[in-house]
Amino acid sequence: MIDQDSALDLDNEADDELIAAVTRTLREPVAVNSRLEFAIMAQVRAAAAEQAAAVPAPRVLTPVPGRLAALAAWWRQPRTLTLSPLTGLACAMAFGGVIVLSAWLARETAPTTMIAAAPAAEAAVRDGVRGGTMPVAMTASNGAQMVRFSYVAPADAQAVSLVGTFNDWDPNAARLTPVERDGVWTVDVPLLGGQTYQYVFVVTNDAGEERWLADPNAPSLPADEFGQPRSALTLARSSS
Amino acid sequence: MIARLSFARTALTALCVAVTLVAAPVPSVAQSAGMDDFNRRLTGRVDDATRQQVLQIAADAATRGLPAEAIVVKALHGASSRAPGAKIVRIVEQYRDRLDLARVSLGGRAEPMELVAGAEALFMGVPGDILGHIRRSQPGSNVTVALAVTTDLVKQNVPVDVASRAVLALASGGLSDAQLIDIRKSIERDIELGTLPATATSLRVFGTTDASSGTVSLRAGFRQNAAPVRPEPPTLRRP
Amino acid sequence: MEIGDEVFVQRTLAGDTDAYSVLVRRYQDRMARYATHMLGSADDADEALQDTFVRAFRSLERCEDPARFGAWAFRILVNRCHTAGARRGRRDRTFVRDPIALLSAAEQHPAEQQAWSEEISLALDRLDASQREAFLLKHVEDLSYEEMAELTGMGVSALKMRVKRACARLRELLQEVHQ
Repeated sequence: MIDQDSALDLDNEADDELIAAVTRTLREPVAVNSRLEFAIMAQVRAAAAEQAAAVPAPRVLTPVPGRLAALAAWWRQPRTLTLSPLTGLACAMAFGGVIVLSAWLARETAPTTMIAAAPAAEAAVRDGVRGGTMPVAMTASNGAQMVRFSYVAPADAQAVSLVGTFNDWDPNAARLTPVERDGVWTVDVPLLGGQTYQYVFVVTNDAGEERWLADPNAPSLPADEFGQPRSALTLARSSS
Repeated sequence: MIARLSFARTALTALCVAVTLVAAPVPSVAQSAGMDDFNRRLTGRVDDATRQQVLQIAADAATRGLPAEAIVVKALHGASSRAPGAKIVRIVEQYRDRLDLARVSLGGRAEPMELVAGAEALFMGVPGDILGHIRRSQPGSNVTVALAVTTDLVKQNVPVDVASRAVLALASGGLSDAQLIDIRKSIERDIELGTLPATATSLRVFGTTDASSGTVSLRAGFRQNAAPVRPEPPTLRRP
Repeated sequence: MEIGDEVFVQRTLAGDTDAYSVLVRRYQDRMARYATHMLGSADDADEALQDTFVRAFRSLERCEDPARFGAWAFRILVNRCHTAGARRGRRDRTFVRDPIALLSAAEQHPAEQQAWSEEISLALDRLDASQREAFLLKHVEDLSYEEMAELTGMGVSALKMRVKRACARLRELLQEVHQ
């Protein structure tokens, strides 16, 4: 009785001249887009900035009635402060020095790319966030969540639009704006929770050519019925 | 006598006419306003013939209790994709049929977003009876996200039976939409890192590679920091 | 002696993002080759590579063996290409019935080599996606069947059958060209 795996080996494709020739050809290097590394690293740097950015949620202090009013009154009450000219000059120089030092520190530590980080929102609000999409704030009136879509476009991109089920797939409805020199484009869109939205980025290059590009920060999906790439974002309802 | 008969006949005729008028379907003001809005949105995006056909399909969908809005958005999707009018109409008709099948599977009280999510699930190959099971697993609750998570998993090559078994188990366990999405994201991350889709799903939901166990391990589902199980990656010789 | 992947992985994790570019340059050619043949277009391959390297960066702390970053990233790429499925927009071309033997043991004229490459690409186009994947992993990427099984989740026997069928189909398609 012939072992099934051995039987499959009997016809040794490696000895086949035609297959060997095909393999030799396919093993040859292919032309790689000269800007591929640039595009990858732009996205990587944006991702790094995203990971590094940590904006704490603004604390809302609940004022204590009475005590706050008294405190406010104390601060508002004008007072007379007497300084000698020398003391005044020293204070001015110190103040100026603080400004210069702050500016110098800001120049050294400012990130080269910055994508607005989501505030520390409730878990329900963050549902559906993945990389290039994140909630920015809650709008209370109808429960819509403001979601920020970010896309690192190729260097030759002249325009980037967001189209999807939430805006009639209209390329004029949600144009992204470039925010960083590393090619990061963003737009904020209000979306209701409790449903899935399909979307895609439409990138126009300097030759006027349009490409539909899925969100690289979302899982890859099979093409839609029209043969186009697409991405999906499912948002939970804010109350769940 | 003759006068009384004549009066009776006249009255009966008037009654029949009145009944017919009352029974006849009269377009509501709201429906007309909706179609006007659809018409406005389609104008200029598709040619006139396609627009008329899409409006007809949308109107037909509305009479069946299907979300006409979704039908129009599907047509606009085709318009932006620069698909030919005939293709747009064909795809919109198929979409309407899927919405109809979703309504059969989810029940007549399904909300529009549930039908849209159901239609997408059907498009990805999730059988209609699975939609019904998901519906019954969360009686009285909106199952849009549960349907969407099932579809999302199938799109990541999780076998349909594993995906549906997982979502059914989680939904029956009373997980919220947010929790369902969280687990889905964890599974997707594991798949991206090379775990087989079925394995990733089974581990996250059931805590075992055997999805047929059916017992949800909620701790497994929330092991956010647990490293996924990965076989040794293949050797890729450094150039 | 070349510096190992693990050095650049660790430097990247320590915050030196530029160190990641070394890993990109080190593996992009080979990954581009696989993605181009699997997906059928340079643009799609570009997109797949960008996706792959960005995903790998985001999950870098989960790379269990940084010394073998390349293999780990390649696995992500194979999954990505698998999800992309069959080639989009199958090209509407018939095979060239060229009486000139495109395959020759002697050095070929560049134009003939180009034509031969194109015929191979068209033939790959006609393969079922799973057969194409199996053929490329086995014969072009030179993986063992055990390695392929780990990558794809298929059994070794099933993979051997896919490779066998892919070869048979390629022979069928290309021997019409080769006199």
